[in-house]
Amino acid sequence: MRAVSLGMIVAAACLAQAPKPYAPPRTSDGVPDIEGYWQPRNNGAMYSVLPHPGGFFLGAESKEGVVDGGVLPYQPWAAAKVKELTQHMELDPTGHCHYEGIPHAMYFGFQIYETSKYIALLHENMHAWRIVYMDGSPHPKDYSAWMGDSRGHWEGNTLVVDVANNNDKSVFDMAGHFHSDALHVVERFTPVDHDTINYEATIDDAKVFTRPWKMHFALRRAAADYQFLESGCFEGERDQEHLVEGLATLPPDHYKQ
Amino acid sequence: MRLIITLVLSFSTAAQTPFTPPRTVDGKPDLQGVWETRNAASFDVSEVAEGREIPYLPQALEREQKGGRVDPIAHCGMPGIPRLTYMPFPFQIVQRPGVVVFLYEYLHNQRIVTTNPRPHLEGIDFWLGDSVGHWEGDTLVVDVTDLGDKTWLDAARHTHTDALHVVERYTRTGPNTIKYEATIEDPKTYARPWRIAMPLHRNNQPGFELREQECTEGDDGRAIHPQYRPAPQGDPLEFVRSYPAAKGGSK
Amino acid sequence: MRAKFAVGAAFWGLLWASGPARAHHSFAAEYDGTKPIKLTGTVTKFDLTNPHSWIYIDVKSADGKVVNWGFETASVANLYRRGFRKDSVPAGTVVTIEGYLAKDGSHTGNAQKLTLPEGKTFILGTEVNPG
Repeated sequence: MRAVSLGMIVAAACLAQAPKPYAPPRTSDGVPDIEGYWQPRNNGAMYSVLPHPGGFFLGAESKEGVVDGGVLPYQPWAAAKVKELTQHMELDPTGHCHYEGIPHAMYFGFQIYETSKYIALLHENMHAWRIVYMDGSPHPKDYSAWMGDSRGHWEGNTLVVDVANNNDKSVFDMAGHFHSDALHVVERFTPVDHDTINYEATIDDAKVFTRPWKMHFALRRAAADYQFLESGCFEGERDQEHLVEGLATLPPDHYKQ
Repeated sequence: MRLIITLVLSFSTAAQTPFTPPRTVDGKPDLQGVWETRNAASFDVSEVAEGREIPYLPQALEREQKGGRVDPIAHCGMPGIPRLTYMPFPFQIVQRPGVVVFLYEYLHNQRIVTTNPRPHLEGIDFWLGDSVGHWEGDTLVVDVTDLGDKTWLDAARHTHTDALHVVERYTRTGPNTIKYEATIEDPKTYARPWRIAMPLHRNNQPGFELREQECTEGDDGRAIHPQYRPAPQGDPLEFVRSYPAAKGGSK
Repeated sequence: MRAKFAVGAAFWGLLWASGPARAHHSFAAEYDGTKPIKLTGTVTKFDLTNPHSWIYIDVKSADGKVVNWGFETASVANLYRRGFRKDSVPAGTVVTIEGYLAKDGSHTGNAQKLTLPEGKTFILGTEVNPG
């Protein structure tokens, strides 16, 4: 009787144990190995990072969006500018073949390559690439770029990437959500199983928002033999001819903010 | 004297002392780092061609002279291969088992070159073509097809057809050099395949990093940035012809 | 170190993997989703370009006039992944294109589907929209 009770207590203790946190494979430098081709699951963030209805040419409905709390804390003057921008889609910079910037470029498939001193992210869209310097070097001064400048370090199993030197021209999505050159993004990539990384970005821009805010979505590992195909954007962009000012509008209430 | 001998030997592979390069984790020569070319090839590729001439077929030369006169890179066109290598901008090589990745500062271009050979894509053209790599001893060989016919090999309007086929070779020759060679063939343009060769120099400046280089136009090459404006009408060279100097006078 | 990027027999399978849907300007701003069109004409040109390819067809109107229409399609990468090749629709082919009319009154549309004379179809649409 006593032996059976002891066995039952031990079994109960085993069942009650928390599942072990995921231990990713390690590179030869002993840091997590997150190399591979990753596809974001992001609810149509390229249309709007906020919840939005679907519609023809406007993508699928997204009930939740990717923004924590479902609200973008724009200052009042900036909220008004957002609405104005939705009435001028001809000004959308991606329609002019500019780079998407961060975090916008992260809504699409990308590849990660890790070396001892840096991590390279390759994006298929716009054949863009980012080098995340992992050697503790500082952001450069007097430099601004569409894709900013990325410096990273590991915190446990999380890759933390600090993105500064952003220009004021890239946008978060196609819903008029803009930022200033004070944009500062901190990304966190946390592998949670072999085929999933949780991506979170903290956005800070005191010129435009009343407080920092966060977005998050999952990245899923895609087929290892997926091949990037050349994806430039300068030759077949004829649409600006047809995006005549005034006609290039979205329904004003299409996006909630 | 030593300098002259080095220059003479740069085209003759037999006489070079082989360099033993450091190796990556999978035993391949380590090509990684930031590299630059230092020559005039981007102006005229015959500068780096064996024999300093390009063996044109006469009909190809005629076709070229009757062809377009605007360098495709003037409208943000990608430079193609091998021109992308010798554009006066640095590039970075990243190497992992089974792949060599080229990150070019010019136009933010990228090339992901598998070193496990696969069939080429067929029936499609890309500005940078389709690159498939493999190792021959300590040389990375990159075979490039599907290059289309839109690029120039340099600013001197050396053109090609969509039969262009380029084979590049990258070989470490010293702590700070790679020997880069390319065999260029196009039976509709050249009488025979021809070769170019040049050293790639490692950029050793402390803290040197690639930066963003962007070029953007749209609308079939008409500039639309920063504000949308309609396509220009009429003769695009009109403003040049209207200059006082062009009319032979001065004001 | 495992070679994660080795490509072998699975290569041809990847042709059907979905390509990136680029965050582009809004199509709703340029094309009218309530104005579907279906035109039959002779291909004059097919530019395989990025971010969109363009197919041009000569369409004869009822009064015998010929008008050249341009249709915007998916990128080179996405067309290639759907089996499209540069010789798939040569100039002179008579095709039917279904799509949506541009808002600005030009002879332009956003192509969704192309049908060849023998009935074969290609999806040309730039975005896969559940609607």
